[in-house]
Amino acid sequence: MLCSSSHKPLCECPSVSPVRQATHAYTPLSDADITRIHDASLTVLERTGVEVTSAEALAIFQQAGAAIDPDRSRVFLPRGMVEDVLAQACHRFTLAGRDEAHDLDMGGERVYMGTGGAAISVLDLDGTVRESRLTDIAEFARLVDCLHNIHFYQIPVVARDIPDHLHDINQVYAALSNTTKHIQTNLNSLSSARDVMALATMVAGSPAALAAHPFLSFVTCCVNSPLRYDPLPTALMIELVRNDLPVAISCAPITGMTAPMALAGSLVQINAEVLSGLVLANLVRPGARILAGYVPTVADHRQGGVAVGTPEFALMNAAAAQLAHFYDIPIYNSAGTADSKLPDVQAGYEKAMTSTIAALSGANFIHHTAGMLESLLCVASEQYVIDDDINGSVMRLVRGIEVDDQTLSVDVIDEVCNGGQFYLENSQTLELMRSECFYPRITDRKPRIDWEAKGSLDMRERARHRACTILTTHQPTRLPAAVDQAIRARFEILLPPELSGSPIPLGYPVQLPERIVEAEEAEFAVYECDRR
Amino acid sequence: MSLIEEIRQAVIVGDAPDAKAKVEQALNDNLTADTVLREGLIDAMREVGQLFEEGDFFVPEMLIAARAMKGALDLLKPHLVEEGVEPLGKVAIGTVKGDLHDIGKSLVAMMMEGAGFELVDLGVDVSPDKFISVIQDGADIVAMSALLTTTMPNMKLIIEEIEAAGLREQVVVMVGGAPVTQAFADQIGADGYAADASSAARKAQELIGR
Ligand code: B1M
Repeated sequence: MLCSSSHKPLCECPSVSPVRQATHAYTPLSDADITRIHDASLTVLERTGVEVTSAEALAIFQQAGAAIDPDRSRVFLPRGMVEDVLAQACHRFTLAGRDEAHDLDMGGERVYMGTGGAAISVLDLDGTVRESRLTDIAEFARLVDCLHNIHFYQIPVVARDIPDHLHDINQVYAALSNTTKHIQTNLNSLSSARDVMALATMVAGSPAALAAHPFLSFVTCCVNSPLRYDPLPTALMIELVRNDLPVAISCAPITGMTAPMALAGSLVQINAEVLSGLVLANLVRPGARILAGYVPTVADHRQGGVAVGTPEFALMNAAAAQLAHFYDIPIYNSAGTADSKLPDVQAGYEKAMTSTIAALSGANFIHHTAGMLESLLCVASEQYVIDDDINGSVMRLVRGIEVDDQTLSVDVIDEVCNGGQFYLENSQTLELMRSECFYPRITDRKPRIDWEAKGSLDMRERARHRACTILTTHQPTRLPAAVDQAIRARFEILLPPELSGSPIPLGYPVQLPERIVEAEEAEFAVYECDRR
Repeated sequence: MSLIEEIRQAVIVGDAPDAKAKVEQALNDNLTADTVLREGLIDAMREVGQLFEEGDFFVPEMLIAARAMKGALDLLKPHLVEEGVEPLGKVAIGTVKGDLHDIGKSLVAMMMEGAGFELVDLGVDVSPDKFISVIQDGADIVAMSALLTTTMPNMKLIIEEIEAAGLREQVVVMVGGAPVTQAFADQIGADGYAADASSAARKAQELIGR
C-alpha cells in the first residue's frame, strides 16, 4: 500500500537548532594523560615512523626534513618538525551549506552531528534489506534536509546500480540537488575528483567562490593502519588540498587488530597517524583546512568483527576530541553508530550512548550520527528520523544549564509563592518553555489512552510514518535551473530528473506496512513537520 | 595424561614450542604421524572451534592455537608423506585487486589452516595473474575475499581468467566478504561461499570432499 498523497505540503524547513559551545562536559583523559599520549605519539613518529609508498608524498616529507629509509619506504618524523608544521595548522574554518543557515563553524568545541557514509545496503520502509542505489542518495538527502538535528550530509550509501566510474559525480550531484546542508563525500579516483571539483565550481560560480564558501568537503582515508599510507587516498588528499578545499584526513585503526589492544595504545597510534596526515597536508599547503579524522574502532574479539556501538568506541572518540582540542584543530569523529541490524532497543542504546559521549566531549564534525546500522553496512529511512530525536536530545545536553541572575529565578519564586498558584501562568514559563526544553518529534510522552487511540505505534513505526510523510511531501531547494541544465549537459548524470530538477510529485510512492498506514489520518496532525 | 592428550592441550592453549616438542616425542615413541594428526592436532582444533562457537574462546586465542597446530603440522609433514597420508589440500587465499581489507581474509586463512589445509596467503590487492600462477603451482582451492562493492566484480574477472587459462576444472573457487552473498557466488560461477571464517573452513572441507 502506498502512502496517501492527501497531505498538505509540510516541511517549510525551519532553521537549524542552535549549536552551542560544549563545556568540557565529558573528558575521560586528564591533562597529564593527554600530554603522555601526545608525547608517546611523537615518539612513535620519530622511532617507528610511517610507511609511505607514494613517491610524491615521500618527496614532500623528505624535503621538509624527515628521515627516509628507502628500502622500507619508511618516513621518520622528527619531533621538532612535527611541532613546527603543526604550528601552521588551521584552527577554525567554515564548512558551508548551500543555504548559509546551514554553515558549520568548525573548531573550538562547537558540536555538529551529521550522517556518515558508504553503507552498502538499505533497510527499506517495508522491512526488506536490499542493495543501495543512486536514488537513495537523493532520497536520504531530502529526508535529512528536513530533519533539524542532522546538521550535515556525508553521502551515506554507495550507488550500487550505476557503473563505478560514474559514482562520484552522480553521488555528489544527487546530494547537492536534494539538500542545502553541507555535503561531504569520499572519492574513488583522481579523474572523478576533477569532475566533482568542476561540478562544485559550476554550482559556486567560480573556484574562488567555492573555496570561500565550500558547501562540499571531502574525506580521504589516507592511512591503512598501522601507520601505512594508502597511495590513492593520499594522492586525492594532496590534490584537494592544492585546490584549497577542506578535507577530513581519516584514520581508522581497530583495537587488537590493526592497533594495540590497550585503548591508550590505540589512541597513541591513531594520534600518530592523524598528526602525520596533518603534517603532510600542511606541507602541501600551510594552513590547509583539515579536519583531524579520528575513527578509533574496536573489534569484538569473540567473532572478529568491528564493533562500533560500544562503550570503548565512545570513550576513545571522546578522548580523540580532547586530543584535537589540545592541538586546537577541528576534529572529525564518529558516534550514533550501531551494530544492531534494525532500529530496535539495541540500536537505541548504542546510538544514544555513543552520541552523548562524543557530543559532550565537544567534538566538531561528528559523522555517522544518523541512519547507520549493522556496523556501518546498512542504513534505514526511519532510523534517520529516530536519530533526529536522539541528536536533538544530545544537543540539548551539550547546551547544558545556563546559570545567570534571570535563570536563578529568585524573584519568580518569590512572586509565585506570594500569591501566584503555579509556575504555569508565570511570564517566565511562557517566555522560556519553548527554548528551555527540547521537544523531540516522534518520541512518545502522551497518556496511554491517547497513545492507544493513535494505533499503539512503537518508535520505529512512528518513525516510518514520519519518514514517509516527509518523503511524500518535502520539496527541497533545488539547484538553479540553469546550473542544473548545464551540469546535466556536461556530465553523465543518471539521476531521474524528477529527483533533482522538477518538483517532487506529491504522493511520491513510498511503501509503508498496512498497520502504520491505517494509523495515518489520526497521526497526521501530531507528526506534521515542525514549524518552530 | 597420555602424550596425545598433552599434544591436544598444547595446541588448545596455543603453546607452539610445547606442541612441537610433544609431537617430536610422540614420533620418537613410534606413534604414527596419522594418529598424531587426527587424534592430536585436528581433534584439538575441533575443540578450539567448539570453544569459539560457544563464546569461550576469542579470536586471538584461536589464532595462537592455529599457529601451534601449524608448527606441529610442519614437523609431521614428511612423516605423513612417508605413511602415504594424503594432505587435506592446498588453499591459496587473497583479497582481490583494488581491495586492501585483509582482516576477514586473514581470519579465514587461520581457520582453514587450523582445519589442516596448507595455506598460501597472497595478501591484498591480488592480481588475477597471481591467482593463476598459484593454481599452476598446485593450489586445490582458490579463496577470494572482497569487502568493497567496487572490487566484487574482480572476482568474476578472476574466474573468467582461470577459465581462459584452462584451469577451471582443477581448482575449487570460494568467495566471501561482507558484500558477497550466495546469490552473487552462484551468479559468477564460484563453487562455494561462506559468511564467516569457521563456515569457510567447513565449506572448504566439504568442497574438497574430505
Ligand atoms: C574465500 O572465502 C571467504 C569466506 C568468508 C569470508 C571471506 C572469504 N572473506 C571474508 N569472509 C567472511 O569471514 C570473515 C570473518 O568472519 C568476515 O570478514 P569481514 O572482513 O567481513 O570481517 C572482518 C573480520 C571485520 N571487518 C572488517 O575488517 C571491515 C570493517 C570495516 C569497518 C572497514 C575497515 C576496517 C577498513 N576500511 Co573499509 N571498512 C568497511 C567495513 C565495514 C564493515 N562492517 O564491514 C567498508 C567495507 N569499507 C568501506 C570503504 C568505503 C572503504 N574502506 C577503506 C579502508 C578501510 C581501512 C583501511 C580503514 C580498514 C581496513 C583495515 C584492514 N587491514 O583490513 C577504503 C578502501 C581501501 C581499499 N582500497 O580497500 C574505503 C573506500 C574508505 C575510503 N573512503 O577511502 C565501506 C564499503 C564501501 C563499498 N563501496 O563497498 C565499508 C562498508 C565501511 C563504510 N560504511 O564506509 C566475513 O565477511
